[in-house]
Amino acid sequence: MLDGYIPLLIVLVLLIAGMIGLFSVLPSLSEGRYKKSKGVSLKVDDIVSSMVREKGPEVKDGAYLETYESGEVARGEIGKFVTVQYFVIILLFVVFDIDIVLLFPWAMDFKALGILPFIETLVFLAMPLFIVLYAFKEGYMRWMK
Amino acid sequence: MIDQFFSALGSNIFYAFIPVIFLGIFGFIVLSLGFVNAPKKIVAWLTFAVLAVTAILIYFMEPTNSTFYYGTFVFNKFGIYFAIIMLISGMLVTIPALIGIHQKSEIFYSTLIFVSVGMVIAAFSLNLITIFIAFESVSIGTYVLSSFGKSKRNLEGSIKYFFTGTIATAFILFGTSFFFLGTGSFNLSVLSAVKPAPEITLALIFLIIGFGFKMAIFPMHQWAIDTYDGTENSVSAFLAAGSKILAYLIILRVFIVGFSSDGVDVYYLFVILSILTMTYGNIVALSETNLKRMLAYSSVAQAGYLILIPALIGAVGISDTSVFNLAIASAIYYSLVYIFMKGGSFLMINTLKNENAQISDLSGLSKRAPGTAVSFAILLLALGGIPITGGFFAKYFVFLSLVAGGLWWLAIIAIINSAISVFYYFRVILYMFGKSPEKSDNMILNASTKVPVIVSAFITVGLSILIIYLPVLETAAKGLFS
Repeated sequence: MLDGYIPLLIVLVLLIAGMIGLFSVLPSLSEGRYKKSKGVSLKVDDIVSSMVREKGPEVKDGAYLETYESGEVARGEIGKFVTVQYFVIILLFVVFDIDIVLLFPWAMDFKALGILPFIETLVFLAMPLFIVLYAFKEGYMRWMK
Repeated sequence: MIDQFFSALGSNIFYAFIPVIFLGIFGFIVLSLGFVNAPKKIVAWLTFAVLAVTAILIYFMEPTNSTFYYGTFVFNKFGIYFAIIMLISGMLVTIPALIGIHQKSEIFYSTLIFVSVGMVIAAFSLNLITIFIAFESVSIGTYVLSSFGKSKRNLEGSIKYFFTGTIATAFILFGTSFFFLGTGSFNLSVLSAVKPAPEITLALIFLIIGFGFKMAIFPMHQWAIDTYDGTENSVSAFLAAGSKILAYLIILRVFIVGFSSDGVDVYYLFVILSILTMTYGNIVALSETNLKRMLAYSSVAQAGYLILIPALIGAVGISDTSVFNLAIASAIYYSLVYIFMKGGSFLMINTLKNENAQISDLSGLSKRAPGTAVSFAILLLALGGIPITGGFFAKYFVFLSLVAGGLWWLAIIAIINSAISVFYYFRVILYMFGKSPEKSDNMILNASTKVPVIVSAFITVGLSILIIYLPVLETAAKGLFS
């Protein structure tokens, strides 16, 4: 009866081990990069001491503190406000997006499906378009009203 | 070609969907009232009428036990009953919601109608994917509803609900995929789960997290307290009544029908969860002085009583017809009474001006508005399970079915819990009747705040007469399968 659960247990253990490895061990190993005297050390004591941040990372080069270590220069500031108007525009975009995605399966087999799916699609199209009409009438499409 | 279209209009499935189509069309009509700047009272009453007409249309629908679209939809008595209950919970909050809405009332009311569309579809669905879509349309609609209002508290409640709700949605999808792995089908039928495979157990855990979230079962309850506290009173009433009953209906469908071959796991899971939920909700509510948070904790405890039924069915199995019918009939009777007693209690807070309504704000209410005070006392007594109210019979039949199924020890735990709950309900009643008023201007006592409470109290008492129809409800219980 328990046979089926053993792979699950193994997966669970591997998952937890992987999580620890991914989020704790690897970053702490990379910190060793800057300890010029030691380099990357795989001794258990060193791993544990860097995992618990005993000494704290010795950061020497500025790139380590950048948002993108790869060299992409981050622009702007984090505390800047984004106007809420963007949000409404994004939502309206999503309406059109979903519309088009759901039209594809019907359009693929348009001729064979016949009249009933055609009318159903028209009804389906009418519903999001009504929302767009509402947004237009209420002035959500005006930029910076 | 055109004949084909008209023959489709004449088919059974189209007739069955007429209430839903009606509701959807009027959702758009209510939304378009915003173009002409219709007064909010007209919008509200139109919404009320639409929901009422839909309930009547569903009531006169012919129940069949045959399924449509390869077992996706079934229009039987069970679904009809729950669809009407959830429409009534929408109607209950339609008119009282006018107090909290100051602009764009058409968005609020059309969202309410679209949420009702999702609820009606969920009531008739036997397929996990359809249930998920309907459930999600209800969730997204209630995120919008809960953000209505003037203060920042509304937004805070809505944001908390939204972020935790999306996580719960992910759990439902995961559970659905595990269910598909285990059974090879998304359809819920008695035969779908052939043997208790590990995937089925995983699906069970994931689905209980997802659907139990919306029902505010113990480990997933914390959003409910903050959201009910933060949102407008009528929206909290709708969240506590309508969307909780929706989650309950889905839990009954999914865990009793879909997991019928895995009864032992369902039994253990729900027994532990219900004991924890009841005890936690009642104990925390004891020390709460904020009226709305106390009612929120009591609604967590009520969810604990409600999920005793899946636990019982898991223990006795679905083959024991007499216990099964009694249990499901008591569950559907409980959910009907629950809507009025919980919804009415939340609507009572409309009478208080203070945003952080304390229990002491109610002191001396009996001298200023005796009718309202008595009505609120009746609602609280119904929540506690005191006789002459519908709440007593609801609890009585739940406990009776527990004893009939041989789970008398669980019934004793539930009775002890409802004895604890009576304590904090009586504290409110003591403040209303025993103390003299502290301030004179901390209440809004007019018809729009008083009438909903009095009406729900009347219905709560009146529903105790409905128990003579319990045999009728038992025939509806069979509709869970099909």
